[in-house]
Amino acid sequence: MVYIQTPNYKFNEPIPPDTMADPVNQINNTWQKIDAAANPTIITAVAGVFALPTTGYKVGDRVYVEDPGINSVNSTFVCLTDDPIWGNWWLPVQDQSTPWRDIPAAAFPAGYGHMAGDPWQMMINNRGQLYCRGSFRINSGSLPNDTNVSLFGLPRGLDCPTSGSWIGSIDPTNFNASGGTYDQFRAARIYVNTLQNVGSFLSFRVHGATASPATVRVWVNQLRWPIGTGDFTTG
Amino acid sequence: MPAFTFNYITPPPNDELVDEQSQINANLDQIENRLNFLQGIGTWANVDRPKGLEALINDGNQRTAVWNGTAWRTPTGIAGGWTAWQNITLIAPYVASAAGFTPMWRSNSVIRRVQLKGRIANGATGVSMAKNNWTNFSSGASGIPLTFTPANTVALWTTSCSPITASSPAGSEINGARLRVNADATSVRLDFNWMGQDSGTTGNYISLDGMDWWY
Repeated sequence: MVYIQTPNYKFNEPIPPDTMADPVNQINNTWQKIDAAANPTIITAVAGVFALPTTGYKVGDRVYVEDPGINSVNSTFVCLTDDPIWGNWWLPVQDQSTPWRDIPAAAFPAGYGHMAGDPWQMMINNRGQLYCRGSFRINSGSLPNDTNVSLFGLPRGLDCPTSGSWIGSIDPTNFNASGGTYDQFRAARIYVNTLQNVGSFLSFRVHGATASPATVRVWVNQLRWPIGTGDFTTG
Repeated sequence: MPAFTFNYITPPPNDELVDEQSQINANLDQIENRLNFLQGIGTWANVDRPKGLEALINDGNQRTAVWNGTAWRTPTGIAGGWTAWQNITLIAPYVASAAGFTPMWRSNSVIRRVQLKGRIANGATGVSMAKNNWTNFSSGASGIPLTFTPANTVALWTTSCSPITASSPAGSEINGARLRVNADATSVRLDFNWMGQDSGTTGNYISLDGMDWWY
């Protein structure tokens, strides 16, 4: 019995009008696809000061920031929020922390705002911890005593994962001048109410003596929380 | 487990129904899909890597690094940045409330942060804390250097204070203290303001634990 040996297949470049394929284009398309991969977005310091973008990015976007100045920044930052009021806030990857940034004035309720010289600022470190410093104030009059005041909702991405409270120091306007009388403990409770899959909402309430000197502002140095969306499901 | 599941072209006898072109393309797809996260590592010359490129690198552990133009930058740790705890120079009559609670401070150059710990009391037990104004308990030439002044000039907290003995102060008063840090002529200035009734006859302390700021 005679077997017929078939030859090895080999690739032959198709010759027009062979429409089977066009290997040249196919291979070039592959290279073009690789070439089309976008380079990283680079944010460079301007006049020695670098600022992370505040708008224009979506959650999860990554930028590379470099600043050869005093901060020696060179790190990837991941976008945490693209909130219409708060804009973009960022999580550092290689650097230890973001620069301090004022919270948006528009976030405050009517009648409240930053204290000039000591604005309420936030910073996020590369372990996902958010820190606060500075203070906020009532724009006229004295902070209401023993009254709950809603401040604002945090943008998703900066949420506090669980509800909780901190002590905020209050600051009478004329305490140093007059000596005042502080016969009772007085401070502000700052409360965060985290609702599952909804968000975190901050409020405060001044506690203590009602006869104390006029009190204008609350310090937030003690506020800090691990950021998270607060989204979770059971089971 | 192999990284890829490539199709291999085999010698004859060949099956005419096998489409080698599709097999090769499938192989290329695998390469494309699986090497995305490694781009820049392999044989790329340094000059070819775009600044800002991120990749997993192996420096003993797999870590996310970013190419800064000349080197791979890995996440900065903070553990090495802390100084040793140093005593806070107290202004008389303020002293440590008890052995083991010496007021101390330390700083971290990586995160530019200062921390305090310890407890202060008003000299010998039985002396009330100053109540009605800010009271300076640390400043002067031997204080915390001005380099460590808070970046926003002043920081203020409310901290806990407790009776050294459980019975003092008696009653329903709530006591507490505010702590303030800012700059003095030669050093960082630390003040407190006691709130509540007099601190009682057996002495109270103010805790510095957990007080921190960024310089």
